[in-house]
Amino acid sequence: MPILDWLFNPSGLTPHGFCLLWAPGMIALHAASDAIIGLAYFSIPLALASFAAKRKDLEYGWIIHLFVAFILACGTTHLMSILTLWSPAYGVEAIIKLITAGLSIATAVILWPLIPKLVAIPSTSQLKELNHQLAFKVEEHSRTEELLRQSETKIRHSNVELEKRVEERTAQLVISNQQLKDAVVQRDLLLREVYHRVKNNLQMIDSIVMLQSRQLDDETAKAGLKSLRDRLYALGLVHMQLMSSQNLKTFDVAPFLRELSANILEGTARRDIELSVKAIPLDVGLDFAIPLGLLVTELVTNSLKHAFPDGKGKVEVSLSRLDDERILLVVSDNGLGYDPVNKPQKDRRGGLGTMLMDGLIKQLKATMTVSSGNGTTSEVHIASTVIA
Amino acid sequence: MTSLQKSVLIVEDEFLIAIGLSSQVEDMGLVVCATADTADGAVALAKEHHPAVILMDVRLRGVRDGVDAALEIHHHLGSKVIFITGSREQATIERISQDHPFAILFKPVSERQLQGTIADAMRATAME
Repeated sequence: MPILDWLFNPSGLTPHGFCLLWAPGMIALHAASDAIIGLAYFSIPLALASFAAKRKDLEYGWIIHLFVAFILACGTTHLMSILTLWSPAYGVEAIIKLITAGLSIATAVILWPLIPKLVAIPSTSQLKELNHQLAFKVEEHSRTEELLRQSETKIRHSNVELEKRVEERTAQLVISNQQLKDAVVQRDLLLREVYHRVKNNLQMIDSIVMLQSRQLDDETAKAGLKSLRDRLYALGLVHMQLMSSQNLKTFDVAPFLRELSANILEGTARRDIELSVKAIPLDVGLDFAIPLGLLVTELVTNSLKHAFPDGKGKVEVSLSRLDDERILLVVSDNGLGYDPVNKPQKDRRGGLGTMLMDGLIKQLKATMTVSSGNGTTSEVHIASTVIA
Repeated sequence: MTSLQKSVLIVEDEFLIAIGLSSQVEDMGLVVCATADTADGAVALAKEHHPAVILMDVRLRGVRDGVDAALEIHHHLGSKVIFITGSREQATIERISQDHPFAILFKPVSERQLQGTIADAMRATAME
C-alpha cells in the first residue's frame, strides 16, 4: 500500500529521535514540551468554544470557531512532533501541517479586514458610558414625567376649581332666574289687581249712574245716562279682557266686540233686532281697544236709536284686514238711512256722540266714511300700526 | 229642607255695587231680604231669611270667600246661588264649579243679563 507507506513509513526515513541520537534527555524534553504545548493548544480552543457556546449573542462569533480550528490544528502538529520522535509518520505530519497552514492562513487573511468591524463593536467602557447616558436620559424622562404629573395635578385642581365656580355661577343664575320668575309672577299679580280695581271702580261708577238715573223723570236725561253707562261698560270690558289675557297686554278683539255689541243691544230691550258681529282674530292692546270699543259703542247705539222706529231690523259689525294691512271696521244697519243734506248727522245723534267719534277716529289715526242707502253704513279705515 | 221665601240675598262687599244690584232686583218686583258683605254674615242672613236666590260675589272681606259661604248655605238651605265674579281665571271658575252654582255671571253684568238669570232661578225654585 504505497499511500499508507507514504503516510506512516516513507522508505528510507528515520524517526526524528534518530536525529537526536536517541539522547534520552533531549527526547524527553521534546516529548514533554510538545505534550504540554499540545495539551495547552487543546485546552485553549475548548475554552474558547465553550465561551462561544455560552455567548450566542457575540457578533462575528464564527471567528472564534475559526480560531478553535486553527489552534486545535496547531496542537495536533505538536502531538505529531511527539509521534515522529519514534515513528517516521512524516506524511501524516505533513498533511496535518498543511491543514494547519490552510486554517492559519485563512484565519490571518480573514482577521485583517475584520479588524475595523470588530473595532466598531462598542467596548464595555463605551457601553458603560452609553449606559450612563441612558441612565441620565431615563432620569431626565422621569423628571419630565414628574413635571407632567405635577402639571396634570395642577390642571385637575384648576378643573375642580373651575367646575366649582361653574356650579356656583349656575346656582347664582338659578337663584336670579327664580327671582326674575317671582318678579314676573308678582308683576302679573299686580297688573291683574290693577285691572280688577279699575274694572271694579268703573262698576261702582256705573252703579251710581244707574241709581242716579232711577231718580230722574226726564227721559232725555235718562237716555244721556244710559249712553254714559254704555261707554263705561266699554271701558270696563277692556279691563276685563286684559285680566283674562295670557300676557296681560293684549287680547283677541273678536270676543270683545261680540260682548260689547251684545250688551248694547241688551240694554235697549229690543228683542226683534238681529245683531251679527264678524271679526278676524286680532290681538289688540289697551290703547287701541279703548277708542275702538267706544267708537263701536257710539256707532251701534246710533243705529239702535235711530234706524228702527218699528223696532225690527239688523245691525252688522265687522272687522277685517285689507290688502294694504289697514284694518276696516264696518258698522251697518238695514234701517232708515239718513239724508245728509236735509238731516245733518249731528241731528241724528246730538253733539256729544259726533264729537266723541271725531276725536276717537283722530286718536286711531283713522278715516271714516258714512254712506246711506239701504240703511246706514259707516266704514272706518284704521292704520295697522296703532293696534297693539 | 226648609221652605224658601221668594226673596233675594245679596252678598257683595262694595256698597255701591250692592245697592246697584238691589235696585235692579227691586225693579223686577222682587224683595231683597238683606245685603251681606262677609261670608259669615251671608251664612247667618241666609239662615235667617231663607232666600230662594242669592247673588254671590266671590271676593269678600274676611278670610272666607263667597265660595265658602255658598257651600255652607247650599248644604243647609238649597238656595239657588248666582255667582257674580270679576275674575275669569280658570282657578276661580273651577273653585266656583265645585258648588253646583245656578249660574256664573262675569262683571260687568248687564241689567238684562242679571234680571234674566234671577228670573230663571226663581222659576227653577218654583218648580221644585
